[in-house]
Amino acid sequence: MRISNWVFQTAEGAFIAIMSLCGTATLASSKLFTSFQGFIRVRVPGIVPYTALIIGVVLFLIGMFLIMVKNRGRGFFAALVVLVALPSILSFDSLDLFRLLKLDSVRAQFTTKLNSAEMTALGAGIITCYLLINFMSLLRKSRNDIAAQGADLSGTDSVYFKSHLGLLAITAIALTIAVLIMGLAWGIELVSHTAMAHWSGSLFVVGLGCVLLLITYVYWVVSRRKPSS
Amino acid sequence: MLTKYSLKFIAIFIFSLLLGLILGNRIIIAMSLLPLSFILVGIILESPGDLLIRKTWNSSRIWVGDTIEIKYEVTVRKGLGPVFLFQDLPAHFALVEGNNFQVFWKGWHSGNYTFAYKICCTKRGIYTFFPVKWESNHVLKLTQPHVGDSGESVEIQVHPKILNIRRVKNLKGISSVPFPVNDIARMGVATTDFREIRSYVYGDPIKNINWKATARVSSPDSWPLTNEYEVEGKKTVWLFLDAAGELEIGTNIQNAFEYCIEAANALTYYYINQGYRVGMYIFNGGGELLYPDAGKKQFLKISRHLLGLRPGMRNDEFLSAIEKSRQYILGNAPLCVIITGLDSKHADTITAGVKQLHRMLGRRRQKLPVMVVNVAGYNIMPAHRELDENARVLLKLRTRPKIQELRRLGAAVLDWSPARESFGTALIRQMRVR
Repeated sequence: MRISNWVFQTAEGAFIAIMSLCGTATLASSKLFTSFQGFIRVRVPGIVPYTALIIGVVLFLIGMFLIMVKNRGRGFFAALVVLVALPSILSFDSLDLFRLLKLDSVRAQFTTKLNSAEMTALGAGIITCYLLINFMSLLRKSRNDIAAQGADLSGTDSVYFKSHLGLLAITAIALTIAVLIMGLAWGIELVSHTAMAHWSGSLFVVGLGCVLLLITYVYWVVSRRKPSS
Repeated sequence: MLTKYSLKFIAIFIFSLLLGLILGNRIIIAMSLLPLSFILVGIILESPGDLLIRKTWNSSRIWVGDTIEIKYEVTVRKGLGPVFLFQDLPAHFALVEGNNFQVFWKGWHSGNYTFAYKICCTKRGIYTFFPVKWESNHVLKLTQPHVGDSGESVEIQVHPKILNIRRVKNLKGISSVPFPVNDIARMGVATTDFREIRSYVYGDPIKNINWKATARVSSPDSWPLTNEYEVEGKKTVWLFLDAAGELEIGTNIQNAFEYCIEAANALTYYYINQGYRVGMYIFNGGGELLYPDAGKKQFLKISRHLLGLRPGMRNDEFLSAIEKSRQYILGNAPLCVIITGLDSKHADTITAGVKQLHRMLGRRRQKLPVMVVNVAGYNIMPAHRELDENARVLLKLRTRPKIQELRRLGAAVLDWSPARESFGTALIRQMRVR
């Protein structure tokens, strides 16, 4: 099956737009953004209602320029979006780093109107779009390489299209699994809340144990593969 | 093994998880789960493997200019993702249809695919087709690709073009070439067909003495007379093929040397089919002699020899070639066909050689049994500029006196311009009605 290249490029542009939107929405919900609007109101009062829109459009344009025009800087763009979302994300810290550093005035800026579920959804949106953009770009590069080597275009396009279907399927399954794990973690948290309240050790040790378990799983999955001959 | 893309996302997961754990931030921890689950789901899917590639094309006798279909049946049993197939084409093969680099998508189920393309053989020779190379990739390049090759190497022989014999055979008239089709050999197994009575020479069988005819000669010291019978078989054709490197005028595929080989192959085919014994001497390429013989076996022998022929660096071997073939020339009085290009600066050796052949054969016949096939190199490449056209004319003018001199010596000259006509047409023109 052959789908024109512009369909995939439009999809890529849409994911950049969603990332920018998620980042801006997160920022717009933070106290820091309200303070920033106050700062703007003193100097250019006319643009205050459009501050969020301007930030969103600037983010989107940076993303389009880096990814679609320059075909690089996907990691940089994702980091920029996360940076924009950081004031809201950090408001969910259990460890009050700012208070420890005696920066209470700064701490006040890192609060958000979003609740935990909304923030998680926006964060997941940012990461999912980053994954999709990253692999769409990889598939496009792969397709161009194959075409440059002189392969039959109909076969190449068919592979390109089916690879995108594979990408969507894997992303959907990965998202479902992540949601299930979060739900499971929430359930475990509820159940083990009482037990954990009496836990004398650091939560870090528990987390590290989980990481090691996952790394062991990844190693096991990869090592059981035998190279085809 | 994981690729750098997988490792990048594992690194993102570890970094964000550690950050989330240090800050006690469940949002960051939740975000870190996505790259992890993506990689885990991805690497569960294996890249395609367990390939079986089966050759289904026929690699029998192939001629220059033929189009052949290369076809393989490919079965992929395991995995999901793209499979790349590639086969190296030997030199001098042109892709006519399809592609020798193809990509297929292996779905969930075991798949059968056809890897096929058509090629044209542009130059004679023995070529090897190596096994089909394959590479299977992970659907998202999360694991390293699997590579390999399958099947066996296939050797094919591409033979030079042969003559359309029917066109030449059915031509009515008298050939200007001094070698009629029903000419009989001087040597060979005697038949019962009477030819003439002649004087006895040492070695003649006693049973052949014609006593009655001898008795009729009244002189007592006269020499006995013997009956001579026709010998079995026809005459010998002796080909002298020029393999000088300077004949390679033109491209790698279309050059005077290749056309000389085509002419040699066509003449061998023609005379063998007429029942002649054909021998060959390849000069200017180190000197190779192929003993005269008749039959298809001889044609195959010569044809196979021509397949692997490479041009040499010498250009003065023609006289020594005649010397080395002397016993065959004197013994069989063959029709000598010299296939060469007269537009080279060393064409004088050909004239000297024809003079030597004239000394060997000329006295016995009125017309010298020598034919020179001149492969005109100046017309092979198309002229792009006026200067090219002028160079052609100059070369042609330079060749003309040499051709005239050869004709004065009694040799027939077949002036063949491969760009304008086929060898068969040129041969018909030579055998024109007088």
